[in-house]
Amino acid sequence: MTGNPQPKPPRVNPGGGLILKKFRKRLTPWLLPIVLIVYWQIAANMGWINPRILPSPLNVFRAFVRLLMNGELLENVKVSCARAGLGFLIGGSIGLTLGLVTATWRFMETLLDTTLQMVRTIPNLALLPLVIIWFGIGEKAKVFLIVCGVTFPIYLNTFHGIRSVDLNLISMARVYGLDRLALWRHVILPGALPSILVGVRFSLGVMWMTLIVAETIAASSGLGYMASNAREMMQTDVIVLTILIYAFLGKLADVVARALERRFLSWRAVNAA
Amino acid sequence: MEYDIKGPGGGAGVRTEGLSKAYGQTSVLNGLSFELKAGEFTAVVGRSGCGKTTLLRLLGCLEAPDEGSVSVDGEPRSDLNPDTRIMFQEDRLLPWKTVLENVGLGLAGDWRRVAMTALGDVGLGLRQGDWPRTLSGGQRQRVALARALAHSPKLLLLDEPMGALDALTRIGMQALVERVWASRGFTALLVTHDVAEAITLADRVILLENGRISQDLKISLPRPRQRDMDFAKLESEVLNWILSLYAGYI
Ligand SMILES: Nc1ncnc2c1ncn2[C@@H]1O[C@H](COP(=O)(O)OP(=O)(O)OP(=O)(O)O)[C@@H](O)[C@H]1O
Ligand SMILES: [Mg+2]
Repeated sequence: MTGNPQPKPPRVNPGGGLILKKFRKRLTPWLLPIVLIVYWQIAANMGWINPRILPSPLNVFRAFVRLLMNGELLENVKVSCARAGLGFLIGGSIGLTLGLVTATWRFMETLLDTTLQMVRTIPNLALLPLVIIWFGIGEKAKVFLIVCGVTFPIYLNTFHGIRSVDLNLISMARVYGLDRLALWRHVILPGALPSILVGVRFSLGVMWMTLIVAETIAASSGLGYMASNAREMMQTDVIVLTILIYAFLGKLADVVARALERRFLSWRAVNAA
Repeated sequence: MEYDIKGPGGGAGVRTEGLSKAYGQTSVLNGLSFELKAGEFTAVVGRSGCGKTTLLRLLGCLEAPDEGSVSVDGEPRSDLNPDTRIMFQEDRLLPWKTVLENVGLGLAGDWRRVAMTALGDVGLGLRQGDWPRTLSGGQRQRVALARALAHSPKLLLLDEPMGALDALTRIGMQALVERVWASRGFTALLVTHDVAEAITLADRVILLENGRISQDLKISLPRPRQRDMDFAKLESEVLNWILSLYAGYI
């Protein structure tokens, strides 16, 4: 190679090729969305798409800036997140408690499980008309619906997680002198945690879904209200913006759930043997 | 729960009186009476399903006998006691705790130091921060042994702890068990399927048959034991017991 008098063509430079390859690998997944958005913008500029049907990306961005500046966006996001958070907290606590109680006491399982399994089959959104009659379109209605949706996934996964803790580990822990409290802390809860976190992730999805529907149909504030209000004024840009924000918030919740799993389940094999 | 690093923690004398246990219709143990001298190493052999694990569960008070009693150092015993530890057929490590936390399970006070000493005794001090899943099967059993040792038991019940290990690892583990037993002086009861293992480690080999002890053999070979003529003679004697168990089938 060193004796080769000819200049090397730039494409076989090994170092540069590697960097380029890495860069390309990071970039490739984003290629299609970028092309689509650019094409969408061009189509809108050329007048191929009626802006009343679908706004251009730039217009959606303008709507974003506008609503950000007048404070409407942040206010509505705050309202929606507060509802989601409160509903999740209440529903999660109820589900967790029910799961712990039924998994621990045989009697409570016999008493409650059949009922819970029956109630669980009702889609929480089916309650919407009834909930509006009960609570009107205020905060309680939304929170109540989210609680209904979040409780059962957490209940089922907590119950299942605790029941599937290896009994051998429990008898080992008894031999090694763990009292009831220590047994829960060191053996049962950590053993049930993977399953509980599956429930958390699932119910986060239910939480957003419920919130979107409930806010769109019956609300006087929040993101869904913003969207349905925009519909009446034919502001498609605001509607698309709302959809994007829901997507972003959903993704955010998922990232948090994943981070929790990484933090608490790091003992698990990343790749099975 | 003090950990005695200076010398032998001593062993407990064990005595059972007419132990019986049945699961439903099947009687497993049937009026079993025997004595383990303090500091003695006893091996139990018997065919699969003859009740060896059940015997250990009764001695460790994980379960109550239908009839009969267990007494340790002269005191009747019916509850779990910190001076008795069991090493199970599987390692039973908690996968969500590090090696050191597993060894320190159930210890009070300065558990890290105690656990570290026990982990050092089984030669795994450097793996203290690792997850159990990253260890080999033999290393996991050594961690389980360290966990038992950390409590300075006076009675250690070993339920085929080496059953799942390969032949070479098993020999190393046997040497380790013999070394810690000799230095700590606890009373040991080892269930095993391996006749050579029983004769390598035990002062006494007993055969469990039909819920009773049907053979009881003293092994007085000098330690550490060589596989010489005397060893072979004892080994064939125990093998003959076992063959006779299956005589009806052959
Ligand atoms: N919890 C239980 N319920 C019902 N039967 C049981 C229970 N535990 C053990 N048995 C029965 O008691 C008998 C003795 O079981 P045990 O586990 O003590 O045998 P073992 O000698 O340890 O066998 P192995 O050498 O295969 O481990 C078996 O027939 C088993 O089926
Ligand atoms: Mg057994």
